[in-house]
Amino acid sequence: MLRSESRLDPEVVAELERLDAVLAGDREADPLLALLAEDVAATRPRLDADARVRLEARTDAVRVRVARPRKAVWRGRFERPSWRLGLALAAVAAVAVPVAGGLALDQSRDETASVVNQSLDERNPSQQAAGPDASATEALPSSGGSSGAAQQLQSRRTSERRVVRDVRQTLRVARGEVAGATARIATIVGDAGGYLASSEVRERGASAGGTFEVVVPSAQLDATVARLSRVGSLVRLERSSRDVTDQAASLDDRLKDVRADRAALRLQLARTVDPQRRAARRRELRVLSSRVARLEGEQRSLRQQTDTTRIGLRLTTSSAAGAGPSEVDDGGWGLGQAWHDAGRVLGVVAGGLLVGAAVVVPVALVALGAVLLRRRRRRAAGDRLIDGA
Amino acid sequence: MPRGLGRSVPMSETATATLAPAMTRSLPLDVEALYRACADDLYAYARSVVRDPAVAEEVVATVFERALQRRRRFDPGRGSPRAWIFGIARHAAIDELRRRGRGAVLDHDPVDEATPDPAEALADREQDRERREAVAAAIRALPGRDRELVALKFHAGLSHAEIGEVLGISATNAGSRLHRVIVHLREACRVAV
Repeated sequence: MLRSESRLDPEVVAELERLDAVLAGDREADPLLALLAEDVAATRPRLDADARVRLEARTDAVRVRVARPRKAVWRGRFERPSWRLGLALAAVAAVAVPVAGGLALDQSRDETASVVNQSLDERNPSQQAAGPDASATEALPSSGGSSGAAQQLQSRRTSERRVVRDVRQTLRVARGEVAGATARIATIVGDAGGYLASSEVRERGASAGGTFEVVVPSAQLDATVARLSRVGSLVRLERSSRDVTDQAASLDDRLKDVRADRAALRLQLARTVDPQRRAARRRELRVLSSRVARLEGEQRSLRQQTDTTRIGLRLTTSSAAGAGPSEVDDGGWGLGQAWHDAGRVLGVVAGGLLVGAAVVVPVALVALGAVLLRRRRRRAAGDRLIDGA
Repeated sequence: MPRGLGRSVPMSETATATLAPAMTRSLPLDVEALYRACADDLYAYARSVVRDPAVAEEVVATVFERALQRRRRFDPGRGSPRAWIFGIARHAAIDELRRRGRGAVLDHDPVDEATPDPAEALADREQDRERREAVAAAIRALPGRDRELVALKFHAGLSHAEIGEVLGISATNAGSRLHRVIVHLREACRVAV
């Protein structure tokens, strides 16, 4: 009852109190009221004997019917479609929530997961067929533009891809092993025919570790990565590649064309007698020569990018700052990671519940309002029915 | 013996003077004992509302069944057992009226000749008889909700708070409405006298 409690008139209160006293047996409280109470009591409907017997029989039957075993009651409930639907939905939710949580966890793991000894699918087929040195620089065809040379170039394009590769690697070592790991890295790089482009090592302190920029021949990339992975515990390995075959082929074609133009211009210069025309030819020749030089420079740079690969190597110690569970993953699964995983799943579930609540709460409020309104209407309808009886 | 006649009157002719502890505000609720203690009061209430004795009988039987099925839902914090069972009776009466499509209006309220009205034995004066008939007629003429107020207060002996719980109104509102009914009946008495 939500109505505000208004106060009754004191006279009304007094009369009601007298009525209660009269009904309790105190006639002296209000003799007239007592008389009224007697008159009203005289109108009290009473159960006759037959009706009493009938009621007794019905109550016996009800007693037997209601006293079914609880198991039968629950079985009956479970047979209802609404219960079955509710149980089915609960079962689906019980499966869906952990699966969704696991998927979310796997996705976050993939972003920082370690991959040990990735497959060699990135290696182009020609390299695999020709051997480790297949990516070595090959001589470009001379200018001349014969159809045979063009076909040769075309076949080379399709068989030998030029790929710029980039590798990022993170290894975890014990705090006292940084120096030893650094020495092993230098040895491995040297054995592969590469070099350390840059290095920064911190052998002591909370942030002990190191960062290295390693350059190795692309043919030695996989072997070098595998050997480096064994220097410590591999935490992260990221590979990226960019195919620049078309870019190299385009560069080669442009260089060939410019060289051909320069060769033709040289012949023209040799045949020109007029001094002014010779000067003009020389000027054109200088322009073409500078273009050739520029294109040859681009070609050398691209060749160097594809012939060698840079490896960004990071050494981290087990207690290094920032090396949280998301970074330090050696493939094992211990109690700490279990807690972490459980926390992630709970986080996903909590997020789902929050989103669900944001949807359900307004709907529930509307439904509650509808229920209250319906209840009020039913009460009013019941009052009308009683008034009409 | 009607209520309020200077002696301790049981709540119904089939009940003991006071409810057993299981029927007070403690759980678990002994529905059977409660029903037996209130059966006559329930019938008086149902009959006052629906008027038809057969319908009233149906209502009382329904009350027992529903009370038995819902006994675990009784919350002592929300009211007394009597208010609870009379609330069930009200809903049962409404359902019965709804099911039958109309109020069961009787042309007259037949006298229960199987059980002589003890009050009649005491009414040795014509004035008392006329007054009593006037009150009975006034009660019969009351709207249904006022008749059920009379039944709940005079026949069932519920307090104002319990009446409010049964009717879904506040105790103050119940008292106010009851007062109006008493005033009306008193006027009927006065006119008859």
